[in-house]
Amino acid sequence: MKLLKIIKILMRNAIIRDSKVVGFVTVSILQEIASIVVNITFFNVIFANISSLAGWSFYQVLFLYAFSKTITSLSFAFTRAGLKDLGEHMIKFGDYDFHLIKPVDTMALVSFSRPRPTSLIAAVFYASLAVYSVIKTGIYIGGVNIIWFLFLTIFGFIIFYCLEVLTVIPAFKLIRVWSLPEIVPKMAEFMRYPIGIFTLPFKIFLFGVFPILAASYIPAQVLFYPPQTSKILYLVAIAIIFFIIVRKLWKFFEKGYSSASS
Amino acid sequence: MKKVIRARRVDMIIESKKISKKYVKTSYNIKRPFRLEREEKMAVSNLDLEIEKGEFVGFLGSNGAGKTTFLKILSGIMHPSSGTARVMGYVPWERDYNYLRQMAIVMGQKNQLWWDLPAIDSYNLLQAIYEIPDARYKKNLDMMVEVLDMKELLVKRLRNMSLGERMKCELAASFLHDPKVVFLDEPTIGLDIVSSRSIRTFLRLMNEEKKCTFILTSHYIGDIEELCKRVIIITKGEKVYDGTLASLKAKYAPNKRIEIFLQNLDEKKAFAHLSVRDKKIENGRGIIYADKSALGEIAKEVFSRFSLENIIISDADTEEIIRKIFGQK
Repeated sequence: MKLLKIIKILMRNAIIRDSKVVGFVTVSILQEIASIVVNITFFNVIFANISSLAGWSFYQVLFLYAFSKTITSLSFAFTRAGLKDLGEHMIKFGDYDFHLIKPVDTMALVSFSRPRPTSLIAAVFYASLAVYSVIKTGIYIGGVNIIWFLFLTIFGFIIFYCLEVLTVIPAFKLIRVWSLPEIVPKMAEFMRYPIGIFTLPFKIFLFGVFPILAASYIPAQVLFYPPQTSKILYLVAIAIIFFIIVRKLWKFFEKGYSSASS
Repeated sequence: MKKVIRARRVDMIIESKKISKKYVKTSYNIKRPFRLEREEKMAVSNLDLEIEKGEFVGFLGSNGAGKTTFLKILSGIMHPSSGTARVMGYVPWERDYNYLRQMAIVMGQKNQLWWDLPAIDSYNLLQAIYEIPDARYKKNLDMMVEVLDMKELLVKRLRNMSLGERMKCELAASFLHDPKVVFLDEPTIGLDIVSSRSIRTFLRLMNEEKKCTFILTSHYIGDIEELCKRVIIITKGEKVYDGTLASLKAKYAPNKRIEIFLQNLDEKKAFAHLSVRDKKIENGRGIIYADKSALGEIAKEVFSRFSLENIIISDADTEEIIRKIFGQK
């Protein structure tokens, strides 16, 4: 509850901050709309030449795209900027000191410290596009599928978040991790395609080692097709395992934090 | 649940035993491609400290002496390489939330408040972080607004404030949760006389009224002289002095300084003929350093030859003494 209250105030403060910058919200929304238009055009070009992509129709792939973008937009809205700041500035300039003296979990406080309200608007856009795509598929989707989908989406988001945290943890040792945090948004481009298009080594890597594909594909599959227990269990287990590993690593490397001199 | 170990004596709020911090810097040398070169630097070495509740302790040392490192260890920001410490019975670097709720650190060169927002929005966030009840939050904020004269600052964005205004807001932010122990790392750095004075007044009030325990590092001797009865001097990470400011002066500068404004050539001649040996003329002023035991005799001679309004008798300059101590090490 305390963390939720803090997140709420952080978001409210970010809204006050961004509303002072004239045109910031408009430009951010236009940028997202442009990105949607470009991607829909791209998918249209592809599906003008093929009828399906690894068994997924145009609207199913569009759903995957919109769903993956919803996850990334939510990440941008809440956790991405804070984590990126840790990797680029917070440790280098010693601003992490102020997080360490607060009676709040430092990983959570850093993650939620730089919210971006405009990305929340983008997330709403993409979520709407995802709903539209589902309707346009014409596939009957039962209540059970929707419940499983929403449940697994939470775990998908946890995996995505853990991967982002993993890319910034080296900053505790290296002081600055430069563009390492950019790996996750770049790899997130894979999330918009069905798993069937990837070769086996890629599948193993993106499902097991760096399980970014599992974060979007398993919830999406559960929505359109009968839920598979093995995949559901896999996603839940891998999310929990990753979360535990990330927490342990954070705490371990945090102990070595040497702060910047004044 | 972490066990809180009580300080041995009830009145000791801060205790440290043999605290050391070693920084290790690794670098790569192309001439030795298969090994990383390690460079070790001792920032703090075997530092022992005992501070009673309500004390205002000045922590002095030249740049790189280890002052900030030690404060960061005591505030839980950094882990020491060796040694033990207890602040209010807690091991600082275990970061027990009950400990963090009772301490604060103010860093004169860093901001914790949101740069693009009015201070009040950051304060509301701190209220949630420290879970300060509404009534207590309002009472503390009202008090600080009054003492620091910062009513208009609450709604002013931080980036539009002067350095002094920002520091006032930062200070207020650190006292919202009623900390019992406060570490001040150069809180008046870069501030003008008016801002520095207002901050000192505020700190003294917090010490007297709320019985806050303070450790203050500052390069401005005025801060130390005005606020701290006790000073600790460290050089190269080692403690070289721990005692009152008065004893420091007595130990390192037992002499009194007599300054005489010499009005004309006759007075300069008269000064030259004074029986005291340790004397010099500097910028038209005659300066004598006199041992306290001989002060009476010398003063008698000086007052008989020069007019009273041109004579100043004072203790040796504290800054001079500290410089002397730094120079010795």
